[in-house]
Order: sequence, then structure tokens, then C-alpha cells
Amino acid sequence: MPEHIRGALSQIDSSTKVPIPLEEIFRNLPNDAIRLRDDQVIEDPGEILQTPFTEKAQEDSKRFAELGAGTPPERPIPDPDAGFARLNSIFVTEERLDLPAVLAKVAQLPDIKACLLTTGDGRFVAGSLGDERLDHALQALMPGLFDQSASKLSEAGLSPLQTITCSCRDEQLSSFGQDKVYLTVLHGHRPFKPGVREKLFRVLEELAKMRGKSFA
Amino acid sequence: MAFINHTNKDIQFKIVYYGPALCGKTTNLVYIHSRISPVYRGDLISLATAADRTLFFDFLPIDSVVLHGFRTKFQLYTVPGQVLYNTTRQLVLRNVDGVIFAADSQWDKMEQNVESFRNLEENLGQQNLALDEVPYVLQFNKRDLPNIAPANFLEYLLNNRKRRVQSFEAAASTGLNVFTTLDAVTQLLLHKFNRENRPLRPNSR
Repeated sequence: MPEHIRGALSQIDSSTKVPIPLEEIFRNLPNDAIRLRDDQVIEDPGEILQTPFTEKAQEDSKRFAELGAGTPPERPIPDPDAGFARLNSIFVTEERLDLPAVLAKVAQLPDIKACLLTTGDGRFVAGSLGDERLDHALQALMPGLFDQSASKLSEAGLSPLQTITCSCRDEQLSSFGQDKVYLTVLHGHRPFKPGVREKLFRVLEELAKMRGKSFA
Repeated sequence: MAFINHTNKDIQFKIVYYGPALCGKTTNLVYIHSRISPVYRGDLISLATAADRTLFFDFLPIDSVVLHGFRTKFQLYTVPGQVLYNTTRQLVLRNVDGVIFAADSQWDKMEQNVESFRNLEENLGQQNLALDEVPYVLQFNKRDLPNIAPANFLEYLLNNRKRRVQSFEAAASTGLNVFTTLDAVTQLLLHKFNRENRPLRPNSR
């Protein structure tokens, strides 16, 4: 293990709970770990009756089968070029953009010092906040913090969470989340300049739509 | 328990959509309402907050012609999924004939799914009903969204009892398997009714 990471780990309080996404646990389980009990009795639906809903069920089955062989309809795969074209219009530029260029544009917005793009499974995508330890910490921390906060606020009836801001003495860190993609920016200790927050969220929306094509 | 009215010659069945908050119970009813002819259904009554959270319950009555001189009526209800409305859920569950448990397939909703399923069992228990005695099916909803758990994981979480019930992958927002789920639970409750009463074979409309 590299020395700089070993040092960071020694500072971690071993009693701290580290939330691991269920999805990640499931992905790493052996195939036979998820097994239904052996003594199950499968319910026999019995003789098929015509109910008031049978006809509609058959109509829908036929319709969805024609659409896609009975599988749930997939969301259309976004075209990354179209996504970058929309990012061009957000940044009002004609230069050819890719992910590093987009992150560079984000970092050039008023009062923004640096930015980092990560995913819900804690993976790094692009950018940096200028300190590798901070990058690693936020990669691990932000998905759980954001999702739990979003869930609780939603239960309380608030509209969808867009940003979490951590205020430090000299600077602030704001994380924007959308569809398990997180854009974290390091900025000055004052609130965002007018329009910057909205622009950051629009950029993240486009990047989240492009996930899977332009970055896995 | 089905309500038989010998004066009006009708039999009422009550089907309840149960599940965690925002899992798509109301969306199921909205889709059903949109696809059934007004001749056979009443108005969809929905009491919701401004944020589309069900406040009390949704209710959709559906009629169909039945042999033996009786008309069957199906009353479709949803319960409010939010934890604090448990008393309402208990009220809605009274005299239920069939349950569709709608689970939210998104990974971050698994805890709420399990909690709601346990809550269903507890609330049925308060009516001295065991879940295994009630006709019910599972609907794994929101299969059209990203970040969803595979169906076998949902089966492991929610269908790992001695009695394994039918389950359906659905997307209520598009209508996928909404009627298939409703048809399945209706078949179960009609079979149960036939076992416990005189044979009843409803015709399609």
C-alpha cells in the first residue's frame, strides 16, 4: 500500500461506521450466496379464470412484447455527442469538449477553485480537488451522505436534494448529486455567484445522462 | 373477506396495493383507471399532498358482470406508504381480500421494502389474519429505472417464505405488467372465494 494512503488510514477512527452500498455488496457476493430456502412451496395459481382484467393484461402483454420482447422498456441510450453539444451551449463555447475539458470549464466558473466527478459506487471519474486524500475521502463519503440525506429529506416531504455544502473556515465544498453521479466543487467561503449553482447542476444533469456511454 | 349483498345481488372484493412510500402504488391505479372503460369503473378518488404523496388512500371501484345472478365489484385501494400513517394503513386493510405488494426496485429502497413488507404482516396480524392465508402477489416496480436490484435479489428479500408467491417485474409508469399483476391476484382471490363459497365463474366484460 502506498505510504501516503497508509498514513491516511492510520488516522481513521476504527469505530466509525463505513456505509457500503448494498449494490456493491451484492456484486461481490458469490453466485450461490443468494439462495431461496429449499423447502419452499410454489403457489399454484390454479385453473385460469377470466377476470375483468385478463383481457387488458393480454392486450398489454402483446403490446409490450411487440415493443421489446416482453422486457421492461429501457430508457433510450443517450448520445454522448448530443450531450457534449448541450454542454457546449451551457458553457457558450464551440470548442470540442470531452470530460476533462468539461471539468476544466467547471473549474473556471466564478469563485470555483477545483472540481471532482465521482460515481455512486465510489469510483473516480475525472477532476481533482487538488489533494489526493481529499479526493479519496469524498469519493468514499459523498455517495452515502448524499443518498441518505436525500432519502430522509424526501420522506419529510421536501423536494429532491440537489446540493450539500460543507462550510470550512476558509473555503466551502459543495457536492451536487444526480442519478448516482456526484460533482463536488471547492469554492470560496461566500455563496455561489448568481447563476453558478444552476449552471453546475445543469452540467451535472448532462453528465449523468451521458453516464454509461462517455464514462462507465 | 368478500362482502355479499343479497339484496343488491352483488359481491364486493377489496384489493389493496401495499408498499413503501413512492413505490408507485398510485401510479398503478392511475394506469388502470386510464385503461378501463368509464362504463365499468367509477372515478379514481385520490387524496394526495401537493408533492403527490398519498395522504389517506386512493380508491377505484370496478364493476363486472358475473354469472349466478350476482354482479362482482372490485374495490382497488392504495395505502399511504409513509411510515407515520400506519393507522390509516390498518384501516384500509380491514376486510381485505387480496394484496398486491408493490416493491420499489431501486437499490436504495431495499430497506424500505423490507420494512413495509413486515408492516403489512404486522397489520394483517392485528386483524388476526396471517399473510399466508391472504391471496397476495409481489410486484417489482420501477424496472425501467437505472440502479435497480436484480429480480432474484428482490425474490430473496421478499419471497423467501415457505409459501412462494407469484411475482411480476413491472413499470407502472408505462403500464408494463400492471394488469398482469392485478389479474393474478384477482384469480387467487376468486379461487379462494370459490373454495369457500358456491362456485363462481366471472365472465370477462
